[in-house]
Amino acid sequence: MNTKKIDDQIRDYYESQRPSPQTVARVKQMIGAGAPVHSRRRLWIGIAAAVAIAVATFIWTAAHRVALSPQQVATSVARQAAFGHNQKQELEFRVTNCADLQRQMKSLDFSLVEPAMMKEMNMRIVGARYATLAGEMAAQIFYVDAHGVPCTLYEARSTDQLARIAAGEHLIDGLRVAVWKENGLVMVLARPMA
Amino acid sequence: MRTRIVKPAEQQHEVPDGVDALLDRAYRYAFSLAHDAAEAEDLLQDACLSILASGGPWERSYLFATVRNRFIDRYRRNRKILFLSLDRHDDREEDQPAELNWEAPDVLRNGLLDRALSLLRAEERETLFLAVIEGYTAEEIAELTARPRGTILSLLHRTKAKLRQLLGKQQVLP
Repeated sequence: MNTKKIDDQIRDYYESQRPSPQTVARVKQMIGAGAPVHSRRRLWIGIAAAVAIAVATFIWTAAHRVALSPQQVATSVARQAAFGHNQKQELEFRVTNCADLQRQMKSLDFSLVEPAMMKEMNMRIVGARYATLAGEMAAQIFYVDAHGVPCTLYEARSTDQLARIAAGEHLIDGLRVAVWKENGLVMVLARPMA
Repeated sequence: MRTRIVKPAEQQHEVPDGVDALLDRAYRYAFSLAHDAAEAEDLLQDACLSILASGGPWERSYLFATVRNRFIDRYRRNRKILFLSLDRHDDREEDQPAELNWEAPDVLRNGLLDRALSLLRAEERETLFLAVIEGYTAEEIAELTARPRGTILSLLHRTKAKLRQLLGKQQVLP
């Protein structure tokens, strides 16, 4: 009986195993092409999907902006003002009157107005910071009332979405938020409920 | 005469030297893991795609590691039990003294060796292949498979003993 070392037989067995010529040709073609075809396709599909999502988001946002009713704009702005009030952000400008504030907030594209209501309520200005309201540049002005209770007033130009805002009062997060227009500006005042 | 201008994207990359031999070796390694020709071809192709996508080197160790990873991924996805714990000592053959490279009758004929190898576990075939065909040291196998060197030595010994026993059983079968 012929015998042979088992390792030699194992070696002969595995060396007789070969990939099919078609597989070798396919793999060599892929190597020659430089990168897997499906990877490039996936890349293009990814780019196309990203562009489609961006376009859809833009269209939706544009439609949404147009479709917002005056009441919806007011609610959205009131929520933003309530959030801004509760955040208790740091003052950028410390002033005691509106004229000083106007001089310091040079980047504003409108002139600040001190609402008549603030004087009637004995509100005292303490400072302000730059902010945005519905995407428009705004001044976030901090007041305190006669009892030292802080209030926050937003002022912004009445353009774009804000031009269609509905005046009214909103109760949000324990705050009373008043929205109105005055001297061509949108005013939003957030103050704690009494 | 019309001349076709080849755009950069269409330019063919040079196939690395010795790629045929490398593909053969990687295929055999894949075959040792899967013990199935079609499965081994798929593993080889998947591994090559993976190397192309990552821009990895066309080197044996890298290609083998990629084949192994693809094999593990594939079987994990199919929820098959791939590698059993090597710390188990439940193989009876282990205790039997075994000559690691014994003289054996022709076991290639009648598919005896093929059947016996099919009865081994994937990690057993893999270790046998790397040691006997590729000439890997226990250290190198340990590095590729992320196992302790002692475990590899023990596994190789047990695998040889198991193979001998399987071949012995099959030779007495009608």
